[in-house]
Amino acid sequence: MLDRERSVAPTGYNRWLIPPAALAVHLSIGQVYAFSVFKNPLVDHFGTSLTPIGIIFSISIVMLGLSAAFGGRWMERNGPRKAMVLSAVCWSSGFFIGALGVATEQLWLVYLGYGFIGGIGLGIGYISPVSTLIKWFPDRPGLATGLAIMGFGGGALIASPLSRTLLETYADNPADAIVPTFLTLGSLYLVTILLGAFTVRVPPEGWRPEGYTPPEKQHNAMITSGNVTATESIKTPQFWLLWTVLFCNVTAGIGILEQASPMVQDFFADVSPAAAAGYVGLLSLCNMIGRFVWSSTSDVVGRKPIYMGYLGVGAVLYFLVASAGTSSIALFVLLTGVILSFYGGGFATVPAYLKDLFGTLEVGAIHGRLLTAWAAAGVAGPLIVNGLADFRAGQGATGPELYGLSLFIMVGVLTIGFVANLMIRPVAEKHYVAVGETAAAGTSERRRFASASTQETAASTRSSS
Amino acid sequence: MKDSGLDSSSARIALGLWVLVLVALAYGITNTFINVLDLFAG
Repeated sequence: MLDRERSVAPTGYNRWLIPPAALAVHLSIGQVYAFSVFKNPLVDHFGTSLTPIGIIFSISIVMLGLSAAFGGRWMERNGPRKAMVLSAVCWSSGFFIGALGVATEQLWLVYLGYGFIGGIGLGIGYISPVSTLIKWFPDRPGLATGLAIMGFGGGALIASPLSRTLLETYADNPADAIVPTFLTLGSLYLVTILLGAFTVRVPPEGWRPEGYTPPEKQHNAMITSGNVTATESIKTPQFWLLWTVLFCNVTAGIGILEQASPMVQDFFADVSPAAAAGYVGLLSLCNMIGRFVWSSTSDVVGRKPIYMGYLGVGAVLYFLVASAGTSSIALFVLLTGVILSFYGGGFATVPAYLKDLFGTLEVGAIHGRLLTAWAAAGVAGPLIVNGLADFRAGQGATGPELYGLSLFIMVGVLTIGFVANLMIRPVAEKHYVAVGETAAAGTSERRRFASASTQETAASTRSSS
Repeated sequence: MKDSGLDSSSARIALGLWVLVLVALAYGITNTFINVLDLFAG
C-alpha cells in the first residue's frame, strides 16, 4: 500500500490530481509559521518567559532542516506516499505529545513532541511531494513546485485564525484551551495529510505530458542532460553556491518576517497592535503568492535570471526601506511586501533550479540537503535584526533608527547572494551518473529515472531558454 | 490522455482535496484582508 511501486499512476491519470496532495501536506505543516499564536498562552500556562517557549519553535525548525537533509535519500527510495504517512504520524504526534506536556505541566514533553518529533514531520513532509511533482510536470517544474511550496506559506494564513478561534472557543482563558486546541489541530492535520498520501501518485514509466515532445537538443546550457547523486552533488561548487544564494535570500526575508509586528510599529507610531497583526498577515500572503507567481515565472525566464531579480531587486528594495521607508506606510508595506514575495519565490524556485543543475534522479534528496541553508538562515536573520536593534536601543536609538543598520547589512547579504548566483555554471559532466552505473547500483525505478532524465530535463529547455 | 483517471476512488478524493484546499485558502485570505483593513484604517 505504501510502497513506491503501489503508488504508480494508472495510464491516463490526470496530473492535475497530484498538486492537491502536495498542498494538503504543505498547508498542514505550514502551521509552524503560526506558532506565535500559542506563545502568550504557553507563557501564561507554564508561568515562564518567552525565551523557553521560543525554544519549541527553534527545535522544530532545526529538526526540519536536519530531517530534510538526512531523510531525503530515504524518501527517494521509498516514494512520496510512505514519506507523507511518516510526516502525518510525526506532525500529528507532535501535537498530541505536546498536548500531553501541557496537560502534565512538562515543558520538555512539548520540546520533544512539537519540537523534535513534529520537526521531523515538517522536514519529511516538506520534501515529500517535490520530486514527484517535478516528474509529473517536466514542462513546467517551477509552476509545479511553486504550487506545492505555496502551501507552506499559506498554512499560517489558515492556522493563525483557526487557532485563535479554537483557543477562544474551548475556554475563557486561552492558556486553558491549549490542550484541546492541540488535539483538534493534530487530528485535523493527521486526516488531511493522510488524504494527500492516499491520492499522491508517481508517473508510470516513460510517461510524458500529452502533446509534449522533448526537444532533441539542449538549448540552455544551465539545464543538465545528466543526473548527479545527492552524495556527489555536495562535492560540486554549484551546490554550495546555490546554498549561499538560498541562505542570503532567506536571511534577508526572515529578518523582516520574524520582526514584522514590532518593526511596523516602530516605523509608524500610530499603528496599533491589531493593525500590526494585519501587516504580518499581509506579509504572509505576499510570501505565499510569491511562491507561486515567481516560481511559475521562472519556467519562462529561467532560474538564474529570476534569482538575479530576487537578490538584485531585493537589495534595491531593502535600500529603499532603509532610506525612505518612513515617508509613507503605503510605500513601506509595498516595499516589504515585494521583498517577502521574493523570499517565498526563492524557496519555491530552488527545487526547479536543482533539477536544472543536477537532474531528476535524486533531486528530492539534494533539495533536503540544501534546506540546511534555511536552518542556518533561521538563526542568522533574526540574530542580525534583533541583535542590532538591541544594540541600537542600548545607544539610545528609537523607532526606525533601531533597524537602519540591519537593513543596510541585509543589502550587503543580498549582494553576496547575487554574486554567488552569478558564479553558478553548469555542473561538470564528471559528476554525472553513468547510465550503466545507475543500472548496476539502483532499482528499476532509479534506472527509469536515469533514462527518462534526458527527456525530462530537455523538456524544460523549451520553456526556460 | 483520453482517460482522465477520474473513475478511481483516489481521483475522486483528489478532486475533493482540491475543493478542501481552495476553501481553506479562501478562509485564510479572507481573515487576512479583514486584519489588513485595520492597518490602513488606523
